[in-house]
Amino acid sequence: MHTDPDLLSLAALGEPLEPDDHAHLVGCAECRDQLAGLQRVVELGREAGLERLQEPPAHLWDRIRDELGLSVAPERGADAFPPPPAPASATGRTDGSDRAGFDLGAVDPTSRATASVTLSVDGHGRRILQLALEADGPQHGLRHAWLVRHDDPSRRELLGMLDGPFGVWTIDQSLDLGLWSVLEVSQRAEDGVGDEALVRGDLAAIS
Amino acid sequence: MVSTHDEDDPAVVAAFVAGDADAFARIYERWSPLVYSLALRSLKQIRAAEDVTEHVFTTAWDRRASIDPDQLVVSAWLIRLTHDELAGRADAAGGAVTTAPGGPAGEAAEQDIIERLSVTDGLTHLDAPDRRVLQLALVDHLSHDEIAERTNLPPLAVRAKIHQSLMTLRDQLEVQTGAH
Ligand SMILES: [Zn+2]
Repeated sequence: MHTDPDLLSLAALGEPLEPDDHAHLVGCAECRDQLAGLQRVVELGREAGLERLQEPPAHLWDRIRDELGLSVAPERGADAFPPPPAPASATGRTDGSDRAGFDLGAVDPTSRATASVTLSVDGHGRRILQLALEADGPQHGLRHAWLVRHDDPSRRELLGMLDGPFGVWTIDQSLDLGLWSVLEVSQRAEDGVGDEALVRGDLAAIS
Repeated sequence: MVSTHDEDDPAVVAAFVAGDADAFARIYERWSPLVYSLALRSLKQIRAAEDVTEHVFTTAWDRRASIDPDQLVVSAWLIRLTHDELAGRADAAGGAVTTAPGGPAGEAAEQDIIERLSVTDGLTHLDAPDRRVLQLALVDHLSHDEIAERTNLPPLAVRAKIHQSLMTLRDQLEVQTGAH
């Protein structure tokens, strides 16, 4: 009699088999095959760990639908946003490597503050945003990076705190960068009350 | 052997082949994260991954009339289209782009990504309680007795659930990647 398939699954996960089952496996190619298939799945599942798949941005379906001239909208909520307007303060560049880069411009036109930003994707599909700020002015006072909705600038999500002029953050997969496309760096006032925007730019400039 | 996902329901596939845009939308909803994530892992560029995903689905729509709905496993077909598009881009880049798959090493790396993401996709689509049990075994390395204690399920039920989930993932992996 073949080994109970449930037990093969437990064995694939690393639980010990009873001696009788073990002896059966030695002589039964069918059960060994079955076990090997399950072990492969366990191996892949452990490699994947808590990895998640990324959803394509909502505007991609609109693009496909438009290109094919289809008249349906799947139930994706109110996703049919117009593409963000081309920003004046950011200039995009793609350097042919695995990163996309762009610059943020000063919010105060009399300031010479800029920041260079790269957006890349790591081996787990996480979107990594790196930022280096070049600004005069006070070096003390916390600086924060924000993602802001291009269609409603009152909605902002904190990306994180800068360490001096530098920051590296992962962008949560639930944020659609087509929508939360404006990146801003602010500086906390010296008295600790209120934030002043230093530089700002639109990530849409890179696409 | 064909999975029980509704997107592989012959009626949905037949409607898609016949040009039903709603069926196409359902197929996009179900499988675009897998296609997009494959392209992202392979190209490491958001913009390029969007282009590949767009190309795969517009191609799927254009070629829908040429497929046999009785034979087609939609996800396997979409993965093949994705693979072809990624390979085409690697050729066009002359293999010079380090992140693009190219040559036998690139092929093997891409096959690994496809297999891992197939299992990731399968895990995502297990019922939540089944997924929880399996994650305790896979990620937390708990034995089925420990899981039984943790979840208040009988050990035999835990065993059966684990086996059922692993078989679901294995069947999807075989269908989608030809792995055995
Ligand atoms: Zn046997």
